Amino acid sequence: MAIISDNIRPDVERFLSDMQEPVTADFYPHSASPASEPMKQLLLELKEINPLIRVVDHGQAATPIDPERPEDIEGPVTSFSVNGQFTGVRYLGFPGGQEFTTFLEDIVDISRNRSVELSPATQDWLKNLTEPLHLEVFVTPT
Amino acid sequence: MARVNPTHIVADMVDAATFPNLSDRYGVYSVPVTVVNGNSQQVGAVPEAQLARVIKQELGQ
Repeated sequence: MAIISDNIRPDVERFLSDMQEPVTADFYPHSASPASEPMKQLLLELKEINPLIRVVDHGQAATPIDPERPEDIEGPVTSFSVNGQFTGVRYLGFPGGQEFTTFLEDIVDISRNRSVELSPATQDWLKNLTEPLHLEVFVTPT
Repeated sequence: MARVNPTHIVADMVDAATFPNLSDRYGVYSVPVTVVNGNSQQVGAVPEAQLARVIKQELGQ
């Protein structure tokens, strides 16, 4: 059974038609997580809809990024890169419900290298950061 | 924020239902919540300036 149903597929196609550069989704499954297979299937369906989405299945759990511990990696992790460069953006889990739209928006934004919606002052400050900053935004797909 | 400096910044969207242990470890009981370097937290969708304040405080700036 498809993850992206027939009734929303045209909308997804239309949305992803805005992509410009290829985006690579590096997929790290988790053998014990029921979300891994659906997430992999979703990525492959998105790739089928727009081949500018490339999917690399690494076949093993993601390496934790500090301050994550190995036991924190309890589900699938998808990270995004463009032209071989990691974008700093990852999705942990499955983007269900309203999170799906945000997920697609992120892919298109990355693909189009859209300006970030941050003030120039904040962007300058962030660009000059030389210490690690790990932001984890917890959401519940509804 | 990560896209501005991907060498030093990682930004995750975390599906709390799939990552319940991580959610518990950080004491996440409502969403959305942004956890900064595994420590400081900002609950809710807040203006940029507020999140920046939380981050700066966490980084000791």
